[in-house]
Amino acid sequence: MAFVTQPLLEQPQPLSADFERPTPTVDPDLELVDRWRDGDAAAFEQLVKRHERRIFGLLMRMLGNRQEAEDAAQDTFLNLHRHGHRFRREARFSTFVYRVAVNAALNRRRSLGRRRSHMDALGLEQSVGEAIPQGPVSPEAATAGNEIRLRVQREILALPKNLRAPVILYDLEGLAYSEIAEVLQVAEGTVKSRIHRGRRVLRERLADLVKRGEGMS
Amino acid sequence: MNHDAVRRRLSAHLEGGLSVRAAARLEAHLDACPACREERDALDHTVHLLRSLASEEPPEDLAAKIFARLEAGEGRPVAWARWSAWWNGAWTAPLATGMAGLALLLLVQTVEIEVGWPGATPAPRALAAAAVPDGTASSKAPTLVARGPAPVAAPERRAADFEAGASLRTQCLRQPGAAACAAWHSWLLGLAVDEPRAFVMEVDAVPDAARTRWLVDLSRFAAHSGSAPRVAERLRATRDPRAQRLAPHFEQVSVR
Repeated sequence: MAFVTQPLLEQPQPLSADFERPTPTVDPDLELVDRWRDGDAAAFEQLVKRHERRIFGLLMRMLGNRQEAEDAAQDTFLNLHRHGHRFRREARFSTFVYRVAVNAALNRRRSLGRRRSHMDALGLEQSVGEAIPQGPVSPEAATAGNEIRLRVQREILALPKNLRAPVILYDLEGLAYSEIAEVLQVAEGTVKSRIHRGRRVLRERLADLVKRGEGMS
Repeated sequence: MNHDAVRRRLSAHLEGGLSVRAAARLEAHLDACPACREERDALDHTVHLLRSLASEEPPEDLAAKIFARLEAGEGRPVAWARWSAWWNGAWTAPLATGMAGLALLLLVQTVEIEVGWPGATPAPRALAAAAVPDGTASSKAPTLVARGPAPVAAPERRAADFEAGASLRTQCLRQPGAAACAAWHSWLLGLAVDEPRAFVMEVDAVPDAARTRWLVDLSRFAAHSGSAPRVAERLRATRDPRAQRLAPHFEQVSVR
């Protein structure tokens, strides 16, 4: 129930060291998927437990509200159970789960309509306010860290929806271009282009934070 | 390389996504251009701001809530959901049973007509109608299973078809060998030929504890009616692994 407190303005490391993006190996979920399809309900439970953390994290990014993210996560796994027969093994099972989750998030945002902006503000502040520091942090630093997180989260949520999902999936979830293309059902080139455009929009909107970060490095 | 071209490639460059030659040209431009260097650094810091956001932990009871909803019947495969929603809707069970009985009686004529159609797969409504509501099956039910090629256009199934199938299933599983089983099995085999994936979902709707033994009954029924090879062929033709696993039941069965 907490944002893990990390120094946000520390010296950047080379980007290539940030993430270990998934490489195309044997899908670790396939055995459980087979057992589930054979009628083993416990296998589906294991799949839920294996993926719930990442899916909830993704939905928090996309929806910005803890309650909505929880509801969308439940929808995701129910939809997965309902439509699991559509998984064709052409991609990893985790990619399929991401796809179901992104659709759940988009449907939820669509159905909430204008209520969203108000709920975003309330939910996001509540989430950030509940952050539990992992180590000793001065009150000033904690406040500053929360403000920065809040700003970054808000700007991510404010991205146009066609840019938001690619940026979240790539920069926050660590998916490969090909996987994002599969999740969003668009060409890989489109994914790259949207990530780049999304980053540029964020760079402009977070210019003041970026300057502070550069000043510290 | 001009400024715009450099800035369009910065994101890919930060990821190491450019060719060696393109990266070298871009680096050469950056060495000579303070504005583009500033743009690169700003983009680099933006990405680090994004990536330094830690993930949030899910509620501890998230999985439990999901499992509770599944146990309550949500998240069932689509075919189940289609007719169970109807069944649990505004209709009460007695009224639904009465309506189904009336529909079945009216469709007896259809059965007679469709039996006379050479090479045709009978409509599932007609197959389901082979059992009369009091549980006594028409003696024609087993012979209604498709023996020839499926019609060009598969008959359209409606929620009522699946509702009738569910009613027969309940009777059959409650009392294996009951007359309702013949009609239900006939309907299922017609479904397997026309819509193998819907058939798989109907199989999924059978409780785990009963499924294995029941599949033996169904495959024997298919062998007796002569439809087993066609059912196996249709299941094999799908790419659904569940259908692939069901196919041997109909390939290896013999009339005993």
